[in-house]
Amino acid sequence: MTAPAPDPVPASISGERPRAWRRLGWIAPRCVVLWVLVDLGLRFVPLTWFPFRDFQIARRWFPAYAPFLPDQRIRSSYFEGDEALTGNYPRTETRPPSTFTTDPLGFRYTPAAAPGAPPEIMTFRGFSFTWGAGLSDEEIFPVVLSRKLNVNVYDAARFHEDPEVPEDIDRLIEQLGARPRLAVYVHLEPNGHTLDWFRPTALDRAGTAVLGDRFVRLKRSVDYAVLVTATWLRISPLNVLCVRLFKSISDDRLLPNVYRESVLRFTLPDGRPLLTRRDDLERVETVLPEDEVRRRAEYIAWWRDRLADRGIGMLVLLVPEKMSVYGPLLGRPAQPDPLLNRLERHLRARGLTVVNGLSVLAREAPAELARGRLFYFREDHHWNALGVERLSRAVAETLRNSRPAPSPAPLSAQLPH
Amino acid sequence: MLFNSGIFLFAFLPVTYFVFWSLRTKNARYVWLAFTGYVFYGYWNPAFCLLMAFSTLVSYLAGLGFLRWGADPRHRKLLVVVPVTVDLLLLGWFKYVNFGIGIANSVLGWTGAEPLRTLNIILPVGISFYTFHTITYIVDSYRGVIKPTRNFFEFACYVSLFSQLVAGPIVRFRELQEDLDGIDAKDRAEGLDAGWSFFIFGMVQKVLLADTVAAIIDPALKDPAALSSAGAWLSMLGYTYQLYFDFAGYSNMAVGLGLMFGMHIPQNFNSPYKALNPSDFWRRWHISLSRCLRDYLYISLGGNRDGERKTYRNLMITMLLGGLWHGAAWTFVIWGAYHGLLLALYRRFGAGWDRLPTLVQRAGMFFLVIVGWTFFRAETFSHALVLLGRMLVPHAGVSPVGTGLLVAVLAVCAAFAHFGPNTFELRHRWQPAPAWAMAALLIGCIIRIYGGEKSPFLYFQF
Repeated sequence: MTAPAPDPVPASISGERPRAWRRLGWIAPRCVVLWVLVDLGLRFVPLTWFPFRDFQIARRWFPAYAPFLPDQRIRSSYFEGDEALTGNYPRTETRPPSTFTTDPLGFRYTPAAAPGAPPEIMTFRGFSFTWGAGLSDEEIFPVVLSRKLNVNVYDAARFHEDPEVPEDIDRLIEQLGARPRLAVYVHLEPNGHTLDWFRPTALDRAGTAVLGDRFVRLKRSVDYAVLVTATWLRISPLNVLCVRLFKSISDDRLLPNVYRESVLRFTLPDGRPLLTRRDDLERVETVLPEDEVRRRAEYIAWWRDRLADRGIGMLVLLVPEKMSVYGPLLGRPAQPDPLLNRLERHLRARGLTVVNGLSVLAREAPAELARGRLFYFREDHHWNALGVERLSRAVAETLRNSRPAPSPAPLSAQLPH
Repeated sequence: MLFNSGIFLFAFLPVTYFVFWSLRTKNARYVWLAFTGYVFYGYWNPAFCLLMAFSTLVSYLAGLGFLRWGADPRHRKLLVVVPVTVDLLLLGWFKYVNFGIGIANSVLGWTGAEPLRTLNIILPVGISFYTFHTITYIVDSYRGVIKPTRNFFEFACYVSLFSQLVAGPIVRFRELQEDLDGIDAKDRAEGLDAGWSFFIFGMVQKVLLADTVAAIIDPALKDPAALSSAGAWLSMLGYTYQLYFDFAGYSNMAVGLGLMFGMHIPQNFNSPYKALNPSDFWRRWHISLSRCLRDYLYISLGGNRDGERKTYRNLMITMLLGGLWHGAAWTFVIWGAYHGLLLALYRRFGAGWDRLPTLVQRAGMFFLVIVGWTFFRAETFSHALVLLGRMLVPHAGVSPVGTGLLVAVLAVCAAFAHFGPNTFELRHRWQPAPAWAMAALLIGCIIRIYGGEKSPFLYFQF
């Protein structure tokens, strides 16, 4: 049997041609269009009406070469950890209302410890840790470091998906009208960037051959346009509401909670839950080949050299994953030679000044845990205010003892710019 | 690209639809539908578009060959053997080569020889479907059932028509030729109401019924040994309806989309769970595949023309290969053999079965189908045996999480599958209230699509 040849004009009860709005062929496509219009319309109403986190609100639009919309001040009492959200666990971790402020360039705002003075230190890389996901303005790493050293610190951290090249530093210096003397490079343990990131593709070579530097600028503009559009498409209130609705019934009663597979739940000594993504735990417990560690160190040293070219010294802060610190305390096998310790050796061998956050936090974690205090959010993988405070203290101590000066760049000639 | 995705509903379908109806000439419409078919297919993996293009070109050239040298029997043989071999080699390489290596390794294992390395081959989505489209075209040209087309765009449009491209139905060229030939004379309004009606029915079957059942039974079936007997029955009953509503849903959406573009795609499911016996089941389940297997394999093997023994042999070969068509795994082979056996037994003892009350025949056939799906669903043969053991011998154990909702959804599924009309038995002329209710169901599906995880159709993997 083939599909029935439908009547050209479906008859109504009276046998007359029904009005258009009475026909499915008229109604259904308009429902689809209506849905699209509602989705688009909701993208223009304030995101504070919906369960979005402050940084997502600030990220709705963003200028080129900065992570957030400039001059935003978002007061928010909404907080839920990434892991709780991902695993659809009931949220048990709360925090007081926080403020998320961005400066006129679109970076997270850092108030001046020394008003009127130019920024002496710049924090960069480290993405959501550095600009402080889940933290209020006064708790973020650059602010706490600024207070400890009593110098102005500029938070130049970008979003993890933004392409970042040394020329961006030039642009920032130009916009700031000042050149920091030191940069704190925040390296996150899972961050696997290597110099391959910068290796030109066949398209790059062909484009540069034809258009020269204009091709590089054009490509960056296209990349930016794609990123902004993709971000705008992703931040859909209607989508979020639908996901929430579906997750609310995937509660292991009405429907199985299929999201739980990706997040593991540990119980702390005081009985509270600690959540971590399965992938994160697997990564922490997997030994990375030495060559890969070396390549990561090369990448960081390459940034040191690029900054040195610009007269800026660099210190590296290595920030461990939550389970690198707490895994061994929660019965997971400890790495005999953890990744960050290996990376630290490679970096020191290249003459870099390094603060290894794993040594600091692992040393203090048992005592703090006994007091019921953690360095990370329980239901999120980011560091909390206590974690920021401890690592800021370690960085400040290192800088008081010796401040890295811009070093000659022995690798500059060999590596791609 | 999935029919049940935002990119399809909100971008691909509207653009394809409006451009199609704004074009006036045959060739423009062929080219547009062929192009959109490649976009639809390439959205998943653009590289495999080349494979489809190659298969299309080979079959088209074979068709031209029939037109030119069709009078010469030797040429005709060559024209059918070469392109069909090419198609089967492609299918064999992508779908069965690792299965063959696995079998070879089992044999080598007994002899103590070094095992062969399995190859890193990605199975192109829908290859089984479009390969069958091209093969049926070549064989029908050879048999003189159709006159091959000289228009390359028409043929490319037939092979890559997005509505039937990746999960069927397996539409033969002859079934679409009339629509394709008259593609420039279609009335846009003609199929719109029925098209949307089929599409929404299919969407509801897939998104609201099959996916809800899957959300509950998939976690349960990961560990069949933990299930109680009731849990195992519920899970397999769930899978039985999930598979039907998933695939029938896809087919209905394909039919609906076809109607929106003036194409009449044939029925693929005719209430299969109302079947009275194995023969009846295969006349109702995946009708387009059953017909292909019958017309191009069973009859080619001799059908029932050469006595009882050869008929049984032909039945078994056909069903074994039919099972293997679904996937390169022993579980599919066993499922095919099981149905071959049922068909053979029915052929031998069917008179007795037919004397049973209709209700008993229906219930009995449904039970036999569920047993068959156990092999179809299981990842390994031992998994299937564990599951069957749980179902047939009383065991304590767990029930699927969400059993309450599962029972409710299964009741709805059962009502539709066993007692309700199928979509081809409906007139699709909705008065305003039902039409608005259908639209509300569509919105319900969109909410589910927006809120849930991506859910590919089960038959994509075949």
